[in-house]
Amino acid sequence: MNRNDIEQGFFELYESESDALFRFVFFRVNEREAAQDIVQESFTKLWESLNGKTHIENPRAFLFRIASNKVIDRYRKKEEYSLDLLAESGFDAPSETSIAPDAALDLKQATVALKRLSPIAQEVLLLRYVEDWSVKDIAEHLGVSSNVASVRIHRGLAEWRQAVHRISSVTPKQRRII
Amino acid sequence: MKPLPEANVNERESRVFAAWREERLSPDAKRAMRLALTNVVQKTARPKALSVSQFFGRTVFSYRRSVAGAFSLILLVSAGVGVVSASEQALPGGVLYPVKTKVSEPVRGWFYRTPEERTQWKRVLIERRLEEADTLASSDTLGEVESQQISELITKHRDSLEADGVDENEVEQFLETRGRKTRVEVNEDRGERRYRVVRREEEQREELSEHESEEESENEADEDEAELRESEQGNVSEQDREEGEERKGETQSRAVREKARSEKESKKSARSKQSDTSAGDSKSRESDNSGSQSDDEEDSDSEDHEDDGDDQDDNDRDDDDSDDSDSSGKGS
Repeated sequence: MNRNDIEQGFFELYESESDALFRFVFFRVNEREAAQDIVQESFTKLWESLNGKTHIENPRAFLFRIASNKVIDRYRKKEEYSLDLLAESGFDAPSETSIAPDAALDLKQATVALKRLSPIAQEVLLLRYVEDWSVKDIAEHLGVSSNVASVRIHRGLAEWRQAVHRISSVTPKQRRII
Repeated sequence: MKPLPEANVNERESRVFAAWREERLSPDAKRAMRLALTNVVQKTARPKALSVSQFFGRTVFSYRRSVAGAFSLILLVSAGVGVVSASEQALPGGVLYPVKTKVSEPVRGWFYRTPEERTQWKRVLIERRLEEADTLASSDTLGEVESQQISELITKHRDSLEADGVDENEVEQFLETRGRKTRVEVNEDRGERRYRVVRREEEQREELSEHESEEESENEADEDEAELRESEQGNVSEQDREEGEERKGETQSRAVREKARSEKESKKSARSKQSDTSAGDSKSRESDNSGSQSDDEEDSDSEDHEDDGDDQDDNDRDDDDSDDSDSSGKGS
């Protein structure tokens, strides 16, 4: 039980969770560089907390909570993105090569739709369907009961579907305005 | 409130999620970040969280003194993580029982640093043994083998406690009264105290009238002889319990009886020692050495008359069987 064990544990956590954390942040800020920065800051903060706190029961939850807060801070500082702005600034869309052509469109829309959701909706969807977290873990992350978490997931999914529908139902000409 | 059913996602949505899942840090970025973090880690002072353990894929940081966390580390280290943690529930006769008593429990003991904690842990171990015996007795699976295992462990724990300076009377009183379905018999064998876990006779009283075995006739002679002796010393209730167990015909009691034959005197001496320390002490030592019945009767007789008063209540509560002994007890 010494510092080396802590270090080792810390880096093991890094290896296993850094990609997931990156995804979690990336789909919400949509800039690769910014996402990487936040990931690194989050891990750093976790390490610093290990210095101060006596007991971190769930480092992964702690880590994601830190990242969550940083993403929200970023929202507050920046203005809302418009689709237009995103397109022009070289919005990093996920790789589309593995998906069929008509589905590819869906992917971009889906990704953009996600961006339009409330922070909570974004979080629960990403954690549940991309990272495969259990409802219990998500509840812990949000600081609510499992039931509430379950409700949030349902709502988040509904929100997202609505957003996708709105985006996809608009004709190509009108898309710029949304 | 009933939990909501899982939300359904259709196939296109699943594909979207799968595509999102493919997103990750580039290997270069990941390496660079790790390097940066290593710098951070090396620069900072020693963290206060001192232990790390891997527990079912989660990383748990906790204080050195947190036994649970430290114990989890041991789980990681030992060959079978699942095995050790599963063994916590093991019962004697079970496959995992040796793991529990030889690995899991000693390891937990290591993490108790102060003498008080260590002693307390030993008490806990004894309590555990008694609970195991009770559990087995409840499900009627307390056989000779299991009893043997438990008894040996109790002896070991007890010796360890004695080394800590714990009063043996305190322990034995605990052993006698603790179990609901079992109790621990104290046998003094060649100067060494040994413990034997036996079923409490109360449960078997109802079955006595119905139960018939070949051992009954054999025991009756034994019983009469013993009761006679016992009544003279006033320890009828204890004897009844023993006999009752024998009549039940469990393998456990068979061994008890065999052992009891040679050790009855020692046991009585031990009992009288408990209630009448100094005088009884020397007397029981004498009877141990002599080993003959008559000697013991003479020796313990005088001492145990003092017990009569105590045991009178027990005698009165006994069932029919003790009637003979009661009268003869009064007669002596």
